[in-house]
Amino acid sequence: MTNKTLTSVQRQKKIVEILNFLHEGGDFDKAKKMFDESFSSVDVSEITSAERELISSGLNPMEIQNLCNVHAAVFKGSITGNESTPAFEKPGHPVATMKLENLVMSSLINDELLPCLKKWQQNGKNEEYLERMQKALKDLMTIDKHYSRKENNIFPLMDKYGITAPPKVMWGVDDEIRGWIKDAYKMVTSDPVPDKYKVEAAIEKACKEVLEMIFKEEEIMIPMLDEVATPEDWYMAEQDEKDIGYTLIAQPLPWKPTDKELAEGKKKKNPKIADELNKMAQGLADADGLEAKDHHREKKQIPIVDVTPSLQPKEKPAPKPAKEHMSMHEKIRQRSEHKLDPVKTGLELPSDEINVRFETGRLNLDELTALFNILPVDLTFVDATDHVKWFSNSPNRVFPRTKVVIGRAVVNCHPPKSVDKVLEILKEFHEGTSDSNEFWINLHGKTFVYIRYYALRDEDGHYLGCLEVSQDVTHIRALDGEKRLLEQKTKAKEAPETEK
Amino acid sequence: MSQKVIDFEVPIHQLAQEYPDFVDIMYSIGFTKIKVPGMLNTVGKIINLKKGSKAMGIPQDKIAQAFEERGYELKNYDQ
Repeated sequence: MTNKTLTSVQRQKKIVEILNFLHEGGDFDKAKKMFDESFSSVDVSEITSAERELISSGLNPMEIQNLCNVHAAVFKGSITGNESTPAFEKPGHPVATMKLENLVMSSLINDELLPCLKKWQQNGKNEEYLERMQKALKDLMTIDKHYSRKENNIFPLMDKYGITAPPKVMWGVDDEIRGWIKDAYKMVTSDPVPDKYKVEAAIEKACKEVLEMIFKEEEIMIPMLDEVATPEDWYMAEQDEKDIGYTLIAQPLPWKPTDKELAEGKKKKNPKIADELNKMAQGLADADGLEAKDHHREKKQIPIVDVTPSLQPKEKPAPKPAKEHMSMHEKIRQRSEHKLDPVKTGLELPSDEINVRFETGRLNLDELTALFNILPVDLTFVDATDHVKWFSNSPNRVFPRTKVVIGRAVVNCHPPKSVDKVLEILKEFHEGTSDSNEFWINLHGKTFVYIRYYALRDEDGHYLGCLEVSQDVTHIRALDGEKRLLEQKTKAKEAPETEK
Repeated sequence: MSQKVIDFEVPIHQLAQEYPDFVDIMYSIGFTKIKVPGMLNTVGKIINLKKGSKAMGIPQDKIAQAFEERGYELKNYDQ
């Protein structure tokens, strides 16, 4: 079927059909094929007019942006012939998303912010340029989403393969850049606006740093990751991205690796750099004397996992014994494998039949999950080896956590400027010189956050790990008077409902 | 005849292995992160001086000058 046989209405229908296919997680190359089949001899102007028709017929603007991405990618592909699109260029791949944001930010800096700065300098009385700079810098501040995704989703991938120094250094620079942008924004919004040369220096510094970081991400970080990361790694990163959000772009299409990409990823075992990194990580672990120190203590035996009804296996599923003298890297590997591929007991049960028996009662997995989700506090548990083991997945967490963080060393989960404090707290917990610590911060002047850390110990006093409890206490702090169950009608001074 | 050549397109990790004073010279120009343990072994294998110049905002001619002063010859350096 060629485009000649398609009326513009049919064409629109086809485009929407392809979009829907992509939204349902359809394979990008297949969508490209569908596109090529219907629009083989169509030229760009025809597609743009079809897009215009779609827009006038009331297509959601988000869809339109997706459509533009798709159509750009499809055209890019048609130049290189019939080859399949590299995964990094497919809409929704974390790398493609990162690069798209970088493109938008570069344009914001080079086509808007810097030209406005220049014009404002030439004609300082012109309020329009000042306003446009304010707007541009405000937009640029949303770079926080881009950096947060990188720090929470991409850095753990590097960690996993023993690349630990570069993410730490980069995180430090990210924080500096956040500061530079904020400084510049404060200057252009203060009254009176400071000296022109000061404003110029601040804006140029921020822009230069952002652009250099873009270069570092695309020319250093991504090639390095390409050496080691598998399609599964990228898929895991992709799944957590929308929880954090995006910088100046709409939510991208869902992406998942194709079977072919997965198969090729398997072939790509032991690339040279990964091999060297392995050795290095091992060397570091040996130097640190980081061996599994297990106390092999006698523990009282209680049936913990209580499997109902009669399917109980004779032997309880023993945890994989920790190999002796495991290198740090092997440990990381094992942890992450564990995360991807839970130990199969050969027994599958509905989640409401998996029970944990406490001294004070029994809860099944469904109940436990719901319970943790509804608690008015956000919990994160770091185990006795200082690795993140679990967090409660409440829908409105004060600080977002993503699943890739599980298994990550806690030192790598904090911005460099606060990591020393974290290490100090953990050291005291390990040594037993302290059992808790607390902080409170005022987020953006709106949300009062109370954060507490507790050392968890078993009955014999052995350190089990650290529990972070954070809570938005804005509402609680605003409570006044009383509201009692029995006196619903009496006037309680209601605290203003806080938004979450 | 042993010539000391700094090639701007060769990964810096390789240059550091070849020339013992390379790291210190780089540090003195402003590439301070080169001394952070674990950086040269990772980033250094990906990056050459051309890219490093752009990533760190240190002009190529500043790098060129520093190495020339110490008797190095330059290769693939775009003036």
